[in-house]
Amino acid sequence: MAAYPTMPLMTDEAPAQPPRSDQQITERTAAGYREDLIAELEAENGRLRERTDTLQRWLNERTAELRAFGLAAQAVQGARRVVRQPTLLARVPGAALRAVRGGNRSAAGPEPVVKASQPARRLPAPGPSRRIRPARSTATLTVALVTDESLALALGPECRVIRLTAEDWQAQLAADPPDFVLVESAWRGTAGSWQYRIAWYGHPTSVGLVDLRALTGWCASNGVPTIFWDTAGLVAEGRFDEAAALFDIILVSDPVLIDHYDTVPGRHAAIVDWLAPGIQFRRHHPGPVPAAGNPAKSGPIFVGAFDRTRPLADREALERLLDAGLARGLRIHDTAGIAGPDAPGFPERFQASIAPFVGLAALPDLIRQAAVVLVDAPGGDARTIPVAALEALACGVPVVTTPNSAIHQRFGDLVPGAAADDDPGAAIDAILADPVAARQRIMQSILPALIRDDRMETRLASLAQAVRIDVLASPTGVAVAVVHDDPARMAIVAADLAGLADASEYLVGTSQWAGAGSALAAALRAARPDRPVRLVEQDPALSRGQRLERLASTASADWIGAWLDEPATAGPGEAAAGAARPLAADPLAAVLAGTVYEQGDVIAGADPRLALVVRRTAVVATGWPDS
Amino acid sequence: MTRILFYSPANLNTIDGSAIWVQSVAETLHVGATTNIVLPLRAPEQRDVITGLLRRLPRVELIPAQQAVSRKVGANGIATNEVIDLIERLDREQPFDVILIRKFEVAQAAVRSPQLRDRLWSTYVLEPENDPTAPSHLRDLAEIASGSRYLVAQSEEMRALTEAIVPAARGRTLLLPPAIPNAPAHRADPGVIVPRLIYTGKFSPFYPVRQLIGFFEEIRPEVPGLEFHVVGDKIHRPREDPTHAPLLEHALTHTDGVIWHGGLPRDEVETLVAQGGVALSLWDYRYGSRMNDLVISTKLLDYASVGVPVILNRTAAQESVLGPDYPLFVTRLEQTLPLLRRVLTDPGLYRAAAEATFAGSRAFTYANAFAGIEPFLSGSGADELLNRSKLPGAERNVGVFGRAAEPAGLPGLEAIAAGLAARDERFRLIVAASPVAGRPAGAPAIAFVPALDPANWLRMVGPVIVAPDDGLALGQVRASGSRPIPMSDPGTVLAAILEPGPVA
Repeated sequence: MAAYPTMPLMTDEAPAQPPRSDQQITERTAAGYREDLIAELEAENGRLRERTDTLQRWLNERTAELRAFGLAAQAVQGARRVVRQPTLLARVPGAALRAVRGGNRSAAGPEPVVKASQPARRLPAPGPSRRIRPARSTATLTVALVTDESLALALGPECRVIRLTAEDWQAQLAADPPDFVLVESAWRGTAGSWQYRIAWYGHPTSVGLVDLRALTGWCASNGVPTIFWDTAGLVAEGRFDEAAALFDIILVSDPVLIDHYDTVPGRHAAIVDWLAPGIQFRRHHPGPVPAAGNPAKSGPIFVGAFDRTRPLADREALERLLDAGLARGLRIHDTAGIAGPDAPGFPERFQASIAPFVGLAALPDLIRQAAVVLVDAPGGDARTIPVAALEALACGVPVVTTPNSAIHQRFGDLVPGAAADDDPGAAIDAILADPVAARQRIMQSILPALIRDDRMETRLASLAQAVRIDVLASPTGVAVAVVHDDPARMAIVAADLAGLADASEYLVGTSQWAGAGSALAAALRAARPDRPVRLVEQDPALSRGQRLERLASTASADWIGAWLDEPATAGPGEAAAGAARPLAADPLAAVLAGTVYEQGDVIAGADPRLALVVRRTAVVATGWPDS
Repeated sequence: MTRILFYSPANLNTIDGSAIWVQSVAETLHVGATTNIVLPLRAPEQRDVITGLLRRLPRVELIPAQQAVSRKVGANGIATNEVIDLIERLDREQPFDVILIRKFEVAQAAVRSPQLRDRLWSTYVLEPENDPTAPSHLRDLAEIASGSRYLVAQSEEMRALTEAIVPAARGRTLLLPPAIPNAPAHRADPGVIVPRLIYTGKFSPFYPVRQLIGFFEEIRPEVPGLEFHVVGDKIHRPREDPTHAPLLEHALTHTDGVIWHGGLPRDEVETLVAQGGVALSLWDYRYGSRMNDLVISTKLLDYASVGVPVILNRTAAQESVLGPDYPLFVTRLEQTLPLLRRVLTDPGLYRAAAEATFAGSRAFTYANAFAGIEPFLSGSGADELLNRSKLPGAERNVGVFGRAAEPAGLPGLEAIAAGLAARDERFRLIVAASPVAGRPAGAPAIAFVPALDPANWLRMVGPVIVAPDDGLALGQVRASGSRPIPMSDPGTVLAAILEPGPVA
């Protein structure tokens, strides 16, 4: 092919100057304009000829390759996989599909070098899939992971995980086929073995993503669904595009990124959707504060990294927050290189506050000890709550954050700093002035909602549903059981019980079926119409423990809390009134966290009216513990 | 004397990045006191905006396009085969020591010339319009790499891509970045906010000039006296968007405060930019390849050379110029407007950004760029090929390299890996060897990554364990900028990793 086939115009004159604005340039002449245009068209003509030649060679190669690979075999294989796993439809080679349909794409011209993305779908709403198969507990799932340590620690207790290494993933998968493969927007992956192999780096291990491509290719050939979960958010926008494009499903922790992945070139995934970060309550929970720590006496801590690549406004906000902490005894636990960006980046003035690295396993204890945790949240367009904020709040610890609209929208003033005009120093001072009260506010006003909505178990269920595995959502909440025979106390008991916001059901045992029992049940049904109320007639000769045991056998919740109808200790001046004092706090909220992290069967409550919460199976097996 | 043939098919009558690159490289090569540069022109000279600057260099000889052929050469210039014929003829008359060729097609033709191939330095052979995964193209690239003395990349990221997709390029790809004068004729005052926006360059949809004019109009009422100075004369007319050119021309000529200077020689651009303001180097990825992320733009260096703040896209290559914490990077075009507001009203930010661009540009002067290739011109340079920037996080990746990575050393390495895991889980061991089969479950985590490409392998690691008597490995580790740690008992090695003292 001649590279420069046409050069008809000859001139010794320089091209006319382009039009200039203002005083310097006014208008180009028509002749000059024509000459410019002709020169540009000639150049364009040359480029198009080169391009045609390149594409023709490319087309010839493709055609030969497709023949060699055997289209029919691909089509049949692909069809079989699609029957088993419809989300794999996107992975069936387009040429194979066209062959099955009898089409001939080559007649229509070559495909563009960059594939146009197909329109993405969203995840179906939770509900039974089309599979005729009983729903499974999430605990029975086997999930192969390529994630950073934090997400692996969060998912580990919920199911059986296989942590794939870059060197040995194929043998691991072949030996133990998982229900699906989950790859996070990880910086290091299992034991660091995926470092530079998932995100974009200017390095041959990253270019082309050879390992990840092989992994997803193997999964496609073996019918194993693959999910990519971008948990890095806007700060890493673009770094994971090539990786995400390889997967069957793309999920993002920040919904702002949905549009980005919808249009990412070469995307295979038919589904792009949002999956918020989750909390592993067995790691992050209020628990007992370790003996070494006393929140009333400790200062603020920061657990995270200083990412120098964040937008200017975010970095400035973080520096403001850390400066406020620095004046109040800040300790920094730098997670760069283990749970965040690769490179350490704290400015010099914070170096003296960086604590020796304690390891990820010890971080929850450090958080629990803290009076306040400072959190770096993405600002600007970001619409995600960072997992660091959720984990600190799950520990019942007050949080002061950098500005973040999602945090402000969800938690309001309970998490100061999230609004653009919040003063982080004043917020820290307010918390340090009464850290116990600040902690109580988190326990009462935030923690129950986190337990209800943000458990990693529910995220795992969403992941499973994304690949069309039916899973059982495990019940949350506590059934509150009360032995109630005294009509004179009915109104007080009803008010107290109705105030337990997170009671999942009420169990009323009574010897006064037509009297106190029915009245209480009716009052509860009126006050909490969204909660089941079970009324059980009982023999007054039975002990309280026996009556609770029988109530427990009627419950559907996993945990039973026994409500003891005793007036709270009266405050000064209240004894004469004889009325029950209004509850200062929801005593159920204080024990609710235990139901999601406690390994034993019994949780002790601080309030004497709800002194014990017991696992239902234990009550049924061995009776009520105080009986 | 080192006689260098330097050819690029850029049309030097047009001011664009390719033409400015030619001038930049000629200036760089000219830094060597003993270099003679012969530069054939692709097209007949119609303007001297570039060639005028080249003629100022006493050891640069421009060869008119008409010398290549007996026919009358048109505006588009000579064809590739004619260029190769010309170079062969010039080489027969007086042989070249180095033949530096730009563009895939030209390099491919050159390597097929038995006369030229042993002295070829081929550059810009990866092109966005060619699919780098197509087997036929890969074969062509391999042919170029094998037939060239060196491949030349303009950034570390582009070298990585080249070496990743063309194995024959590994260990023979050197860096020649675009460069700027050693000292600017003028430098902007970083202490004075000048209410001007600046754009220089071409007008393809990839460069969202119309949107920038929109930002300018939005912010102009807030910044008294704000102007937008635009330089460039190459307006693309994409067939798929016939409105692009007329709308842009209208915006350039009918927007109050926009001053369109047309095409200007590079030194005049420098004078203009040095008057101060905020320069813009922004891309719209809907209209261009992500391969642009891998290159250091001459536009950025031209802005930075006179020390004006620049708002630009964050890419790895541009981070390498300005540092990752440069304050005016954007990841989305819409982040530009708030940054403009800030930088045009915040003297501290304006100064910090201006000083950062100027400081960043200093590594890209003609003298520095020449120093990078001088060893290769003089026939040495093996160590230079190992001296590369480390990847983020490399400081906690402990390499095991050379004979220290042989299987006999595994027990000692496992003890070191276990010690690291116990002391600081952020560290990991990367052994330059194939995975060892049959390691028991629960054995300390060790990554086995064979060093098939030592230069790139060494970019992943900071400290590197080597056998004390392995002189070859020791030399390579040192040349790469890593800290060698002699293999000895695990306790001593651990201490050397975790509590680094003087380099062994």
